[in-house]
Amino acid sequence: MIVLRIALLLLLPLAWGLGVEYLFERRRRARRTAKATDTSQ
Amino acid sequence: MIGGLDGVSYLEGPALAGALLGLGLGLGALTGLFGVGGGFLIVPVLNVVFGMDYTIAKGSSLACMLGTSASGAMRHLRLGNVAVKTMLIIAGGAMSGALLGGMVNDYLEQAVCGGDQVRVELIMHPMYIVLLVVAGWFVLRGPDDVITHDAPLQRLPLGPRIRILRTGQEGVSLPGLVYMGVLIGLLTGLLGVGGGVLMMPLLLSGVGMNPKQAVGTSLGIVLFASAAGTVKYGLIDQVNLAVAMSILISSTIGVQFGAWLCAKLRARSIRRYFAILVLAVIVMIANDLVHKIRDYTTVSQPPTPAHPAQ
Repeated sequence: MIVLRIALLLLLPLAWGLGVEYLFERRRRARRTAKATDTSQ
Repeated sequence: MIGGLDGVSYLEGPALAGALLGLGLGLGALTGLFGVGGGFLIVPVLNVVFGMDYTIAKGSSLACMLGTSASGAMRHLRLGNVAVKTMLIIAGGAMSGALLGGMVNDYLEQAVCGGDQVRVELIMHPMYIVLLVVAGWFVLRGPDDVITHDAPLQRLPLGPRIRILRTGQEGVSLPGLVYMGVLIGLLTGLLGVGGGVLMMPLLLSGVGMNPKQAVGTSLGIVLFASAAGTVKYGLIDQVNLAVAMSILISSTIGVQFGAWLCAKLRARSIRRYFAILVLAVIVMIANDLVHKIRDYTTVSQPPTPAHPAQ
């Protein structure tokens, strides 16, 4: 049980980090696309 | 959480409140002067000078760090000094590490020491001495020059890699950032320190951030890590709000004095004064450790018979 808890505490932050990176990257791409659309119009 | 000041120290009532306010003033002055949170100084001082149990000292110190880092992080966020994405990634690791550190602390206190505070101190004192030596070395070494080559976390062969938006760095190892946070969080949970004094040099030299970004980002990470640590210690009733608030309130006044003093002194002498202070606390802990070892070995030895058997 304790090993499972430690493994979870070591893996969760990695998943969190990937999630944060994904969200920020998606937002950055959306902004870039919006900017490109604005300049082309 | 514990509300009052009764029974946490050998000092009582107004004497304890006054001493805590004085400690807070001193701590605030340190923050203003050296730019460190001071958790690595306050926990051993609360234990050795005030006679508080290590667990209560750690829990209360973390609650205090929560207040100081929150105000600092908000200020730096407004100034644009926080690399938010990087801070959130490392903070996830730091929160996890703080919970792990709390678990290690529980194990040491209950399973290894059986709740005996003297044995806890015999284990914790050397850890604080090592922490103080490392922290003193980092501060004495001073800020690094701006890194022109790749930072260690950019060279680390462990993907996936990310881009730090605010500093424009490419190819920084994500697991490297996360487990750097876990490492600092472990110290937060185990020793009740914010970890900013170690996080700053890691962000500067390990990640390659500039000093302003490193200060703001480090404060954000300390905020999350100390929040996790405070919850962990709060759940086992080891956060004394009266102690934390006394130190926190007076430290806000002390910060002003420290900042004023900082403007008067040269950077080199500030670092020298910090080294003297760290050395004084190391001597204080080492002295207490020697006394505790002597007392412990005297008590645990069986009494010698007055008249040995013929």
